[in-house]
Amino acid sequence: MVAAAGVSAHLLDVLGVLFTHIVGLAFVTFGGVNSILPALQHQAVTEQHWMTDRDFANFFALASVSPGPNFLMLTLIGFKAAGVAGAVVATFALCGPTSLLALLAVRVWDRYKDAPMRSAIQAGLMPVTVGFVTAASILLVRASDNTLVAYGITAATAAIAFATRLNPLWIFALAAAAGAAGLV
Amino acid sequence: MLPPTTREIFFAFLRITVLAFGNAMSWVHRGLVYDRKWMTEEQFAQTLSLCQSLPGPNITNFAVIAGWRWRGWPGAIAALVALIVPPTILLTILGAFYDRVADIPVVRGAFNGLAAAAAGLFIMICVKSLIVCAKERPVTALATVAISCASIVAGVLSVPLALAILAPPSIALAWLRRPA
Repeated sequence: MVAAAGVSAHLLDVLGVLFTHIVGLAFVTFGGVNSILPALQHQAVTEQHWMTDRDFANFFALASVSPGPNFLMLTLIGFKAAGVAGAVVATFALCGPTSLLALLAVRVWDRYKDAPMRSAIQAGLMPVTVGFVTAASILLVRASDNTLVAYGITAATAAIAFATRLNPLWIFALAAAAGAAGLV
Repeated sequence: MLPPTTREIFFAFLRITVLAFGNAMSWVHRGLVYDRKWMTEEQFAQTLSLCQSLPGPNITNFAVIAGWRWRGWPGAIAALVALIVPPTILLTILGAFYDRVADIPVVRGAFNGLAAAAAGLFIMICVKSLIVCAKERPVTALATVAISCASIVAGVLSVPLALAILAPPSIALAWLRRPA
């Protein structure tokens, strides 16, 4: 009884941390969820020890090749931290409260859509959030690539995706096959 | 043209989420503007611009706003649920398998390859944003990118703190240089 109560109290603690932390990040998410990846990684790996850097990189990859928006790697982080309840809480925390805000904002939007201040806010936020995304890509490469071959795959994927319109799923399939064969 | 029904909204976003790979927003554009003609190009661009100036994931903001404009609360809920719930269930199942198989050598190897490729795709998206910044305001925007990136990578600032410190001056600069 005592043990069971202890476990559920711990689970509630983790769910509380997940919820408050992700809601907090959701409200500073501008220019896409990629901009908060460094903060998520810091929290999930360094602060809370829910997972290793390796897991974080794997979850990012898994969400990239799964249907649905890529930010649903939050679902995987939530699951790793606190099982099914964690998956649900993490996903809801990211999109629930901000969706409500969006519905409130849309009512005043039409009045201000041509205001110069609004486009200045958008133009000013962009380089700051692009900096976060650049930081995220550096941290992600650090977490993902441990061998020269892995760095090569990263560079080749970036180059091919930039220069061609090839469906990236093909590259993912090749890279996974090479890895499964023990080459990476 | 009559706005789509709640059921139509649900199935449109369900299709988008099943197909969505890489940049999900391009699938929203294709599904709503190009295939179904529920929005004009201009309505799409304006709604996207609103979503980009609001906090939260752009695509969920887009879904609730579009759904709400067509059918009020039921439309907003239908769009959000169709977009989020099915992939959340799928990823929860994948998450449950992950811990059991992650240490098998073949799986671990496959993830090494997959993660490297996913990081590469992410770099490409990042480079595209950098090019947009460089075109708009080469000096100030790229300097801001560099400061914001370095402060995060070095661990000097957290994301919320960096946003609070760097966004106001960056917005002020953009305001001073606004087109007349």
